[in-house]
Amino acid sequence: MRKGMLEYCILLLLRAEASYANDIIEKLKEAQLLVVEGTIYPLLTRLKNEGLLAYNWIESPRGAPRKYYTLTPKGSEWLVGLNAAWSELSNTVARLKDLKVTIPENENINL
Amino acid sequence: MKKNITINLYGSLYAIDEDAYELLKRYEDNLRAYFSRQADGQEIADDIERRVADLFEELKAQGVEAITIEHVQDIITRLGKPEEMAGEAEDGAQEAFGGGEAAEGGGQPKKKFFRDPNDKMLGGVMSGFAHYFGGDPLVWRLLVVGLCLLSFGTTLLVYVVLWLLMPEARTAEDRLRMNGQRVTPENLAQTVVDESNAQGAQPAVERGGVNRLLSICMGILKVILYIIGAFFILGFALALLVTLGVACFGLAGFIVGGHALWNFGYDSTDLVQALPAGTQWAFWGLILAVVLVCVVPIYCFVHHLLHETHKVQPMSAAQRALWIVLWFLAIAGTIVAGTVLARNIDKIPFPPRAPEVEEVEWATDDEEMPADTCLFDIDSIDAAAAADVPDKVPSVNEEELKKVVTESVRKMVDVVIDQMEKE
Repeated sequence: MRKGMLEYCILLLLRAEASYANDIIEKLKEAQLLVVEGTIYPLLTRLKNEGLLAYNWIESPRGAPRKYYTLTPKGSEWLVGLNAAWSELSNTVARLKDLKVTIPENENINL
Repeated sequence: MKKNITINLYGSLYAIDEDAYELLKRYEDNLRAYFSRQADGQEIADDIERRVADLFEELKAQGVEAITIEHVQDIITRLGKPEEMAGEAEDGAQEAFGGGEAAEGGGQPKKKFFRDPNDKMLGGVMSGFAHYFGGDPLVWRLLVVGLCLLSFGTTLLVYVVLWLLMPEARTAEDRLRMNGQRVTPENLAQTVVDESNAQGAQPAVERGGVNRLLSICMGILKVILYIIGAFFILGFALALLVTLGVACFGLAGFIVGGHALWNFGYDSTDLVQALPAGTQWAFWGLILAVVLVCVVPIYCFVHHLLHETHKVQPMSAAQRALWIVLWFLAIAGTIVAGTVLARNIDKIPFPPRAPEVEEVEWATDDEEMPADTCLFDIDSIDAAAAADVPDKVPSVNEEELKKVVTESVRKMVDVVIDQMEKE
């Protein structure tokens, strides 16, 4: 569940601009979505292997050349689908939340 | 005061304390070992190493001159342990011999069967037993050596099977699980630090007296086992080639032999069909079993080599068990099918050979033509050759021959005269 969320967020972040893994980590940490930084490397590699992401090597002022990830056309397509799925999911959750207000003792189960 | 070394990460130099370097090295080895279990593990580990380089770069920018063990510990906590990176711990990405993932929450986690590479005489199986069941590895070892002697070595076979089945505790996580400790970042860092300290100081286990003797014996045994193993692999490769060769010849034999049988009026071109009913499976069974006996170890060996060079993921315990069982089944199958075939092959009902013809001819050549019969008159030999029936030789004489010839000439002349008269 959390992993799926992270993938979705990575795609969302890359929609706007090509990013270095460190930038992605930065932003995900701001949003408090990342527990350990290492998590995103297996995810990025998997998304790349599925053809949703691509990367170019770009020289950095200091240190090693960096991988800048971008969204592929296939990735953009997926993102559209995910957006739809997400809004559906959040609608459902919102509706369920409205229901729960009337039964307060069940609330903490669904945190 | 600490010894300091310089490391090169992607073209940049960093000064790092020796213990910090050891920890970092352990962490990276751990990562690589863990991710080697999945495709593109190399790439993931490289990416993480780059991240470490970036973090070092940040430290440098902050004015840190030498990276200490605390810095490295911070970085490890920040990046996380491989299991956390790979996502949910219940992903089931890896399983150990003897059961599923222990529940992470509540209670002491279950111990797992691992071979301990840091404390091994042969394959580390017995130290694995000691970790799992408790007790001193030495006691387990002596027990097994005793059993081995009592059972005339069959225990050694069991040992080798266990060696093949039990995974090695390659990473710090594996070692924590082996000891039944919970895998937490703190435990992990502790294990890694402890191990790097222990490695610098002395071997993981001090060995004296009986242990040393055992160690020397096992060293010798290990060499012997490796040699046997190498012979096995070579032997199987050879056997496979021979089997293929025999199969080719067998096929050719079937075609030729089938043809020969057909000449004798035997209408089947397939020898297998000639086996007694109910035993025909043995032929194909034998071929299949022999091929399996040869192919399985070769496949596993190649797989192992590929895994050692990080090209493929290691087999799971279930897969290994499956191959071992399959191999033993194939051996059993070879024996059963071979026995059945050997017992029935001579029951193939060949048709009674009409043949004696051939033998008689040979006999005439050898026995009934002594040197003096060479003075046989030429005419009769020619006549015999023409008739191709040696028995008739004496019955042909010149008178009859003349009669036959004159008669047929006369007939021909009659026919010609008839024709001429008609025209």
